Amino acid sequence: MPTDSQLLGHRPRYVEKSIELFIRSSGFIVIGSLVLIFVFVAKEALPLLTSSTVHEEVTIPSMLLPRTDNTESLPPDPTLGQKMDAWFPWQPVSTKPKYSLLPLVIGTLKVTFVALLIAIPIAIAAAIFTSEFAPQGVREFIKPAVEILAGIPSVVVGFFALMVLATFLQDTFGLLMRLNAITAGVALSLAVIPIVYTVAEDALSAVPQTFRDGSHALGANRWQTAWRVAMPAAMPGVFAACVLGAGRAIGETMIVLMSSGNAATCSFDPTESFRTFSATIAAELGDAPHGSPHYHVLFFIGAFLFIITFVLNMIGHWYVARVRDRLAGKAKRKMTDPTPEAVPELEG
Amino acid sequence: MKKLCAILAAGLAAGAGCGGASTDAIVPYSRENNSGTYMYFKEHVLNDVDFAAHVQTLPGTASVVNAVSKDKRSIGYGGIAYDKGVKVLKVKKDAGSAAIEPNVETVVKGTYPISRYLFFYTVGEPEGAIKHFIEWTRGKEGQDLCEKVGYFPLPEDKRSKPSEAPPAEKKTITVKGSDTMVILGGRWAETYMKAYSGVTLQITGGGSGTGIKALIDGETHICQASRPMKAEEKKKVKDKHGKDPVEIAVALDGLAIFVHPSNPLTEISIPQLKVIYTGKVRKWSELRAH
Repeated sequence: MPTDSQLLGHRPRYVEKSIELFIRSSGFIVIGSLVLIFVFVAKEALPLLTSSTVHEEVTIPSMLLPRTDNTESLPPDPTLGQKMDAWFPWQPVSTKPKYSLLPLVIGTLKVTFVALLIAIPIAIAAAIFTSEFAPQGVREFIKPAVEILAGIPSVVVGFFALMVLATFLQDTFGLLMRLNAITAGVALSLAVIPIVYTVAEDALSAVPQTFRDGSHALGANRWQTAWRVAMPAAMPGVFAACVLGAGRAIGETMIVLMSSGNAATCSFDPTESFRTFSATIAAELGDAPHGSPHYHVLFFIGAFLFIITFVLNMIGHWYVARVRDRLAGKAKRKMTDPTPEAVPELEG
Repeated sequence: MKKLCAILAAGLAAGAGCGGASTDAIVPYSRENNSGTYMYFKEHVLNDVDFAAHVQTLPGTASVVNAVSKDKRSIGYGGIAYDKGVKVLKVKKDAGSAAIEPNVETVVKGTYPISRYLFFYTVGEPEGAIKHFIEWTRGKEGQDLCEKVGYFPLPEDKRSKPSEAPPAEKKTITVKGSDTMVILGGRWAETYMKAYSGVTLQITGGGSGTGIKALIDGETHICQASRPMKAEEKKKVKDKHGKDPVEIAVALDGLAIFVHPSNPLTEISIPQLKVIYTGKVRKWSELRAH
């Protein structure tokens, strides 16, 4: 009988070993660089908490609390929104730099919300269609097509939003500002849809065919099967898809930098311009002198963004793993508890 | 579902109505805060008061011009070489003075109120090919080109004498900085490289601040800047390289004020610009009072 090494074409043992070592170290390099990036970002952000020279210009409370020393930009009888803008200014390049985080928080949340509002229904509906209803041929066309959408460089999407989408939306809805959270949200949803779609579709496809066969055997039609059997079974995966989509929306930089107008206002109005964390870092880091308070504030924002997207991705992947285990019958709970929780009931 | 549709329709109608009613609102555009043009505008027009929060910032002069050309209510500012599809306003120093159009005569004479020198910076006195290139840009050929591209030439007394033959070295010279100067730098490089084949020039933008940082870090031979270097930046160059940075004025630029072609306005004063960009005035109709 031939040995393994003979079957593999007599490859010497040391070659085998070195290939294994190479592959193994590649894995560690990825993890290692992730750790190094975090250490670097955290190190550059730390002076904001510790350095007294930085504290002369900016402290954590000054970034969070309203300021009363900034009334110059107010018109004679200001509205509440205009007052908010004066209380929470983001003016890093100024004779007296001001770093209020509130406008950036509002801007980031505003565009993420709009993008998810558009992307999640479309992406999940598309995922249900491809996994439950579409004939094989159509499915094999739609899935790669959506994945190509993910491959479009974000700067191209941003440019499209800036030149075409902004004009179209402004003319159609008579918006005051060309660049606003609706324009940017629509553009951003183009980046979010592929992620939500791919993960949700994978989760739905992982639902065993026996579930659907059982449902059909009990007299349910295809829609009932999709909505009441496949969807509940894949729910953690679909939820994970939404969470990963949110992570992408918060971290995306180029699209919002180009299509948001970057005005640091405190307005929740989606027809107004806004400024996000990521676009602020991209626009300002190039010019913030190394070691200046502005520089450390930008790294602080970076660390904050890193943690948010990291946590969102962790939650997302944990749920994806959960749905995989659950459908494969590997969940620990099931070993001890014989009632199969994974099979949803057809009532209701 | 019907209810939802009704709400949505009402919302859209309200949105459209509000858009129609607020054609009076001013939509001001500015540059990002790493731009030399931003700094110049803040110092000379706003007298160092902060820009208002609702002022939108865009990454380049070309984007500002593009945005203004597509937005009836907008106003923007930037290097005059970029005026495509927008109306350039005449500028008054204050409410009582004459409105002056930015052109060669007014900018070179200095009567146009918002004009500035554009600079090259090097670490220590430039030498060899770098020196030759800089002298060339300040000579007749460079300055003629400057006018052709849409910038303004230096006054006669600031130009350089006809320069000597170039040193016969092969060299790649990098120029980095002001976005305002990218068009100009690109044309200079093109023509210069045709005439003197030994030299390769690489021109990149990024903003004056980015260029100055690159000069400090020793990443570029020449920094192009649309604002003078600050004292602390000069000190950093000295600390890092042991030599003072050398400032060389290479061209003049008029900072133009852009509005949409359909805007009836033809002139604007510096105090009016100040109230628009600091947020005191947010409607075109209120502007007349200032």
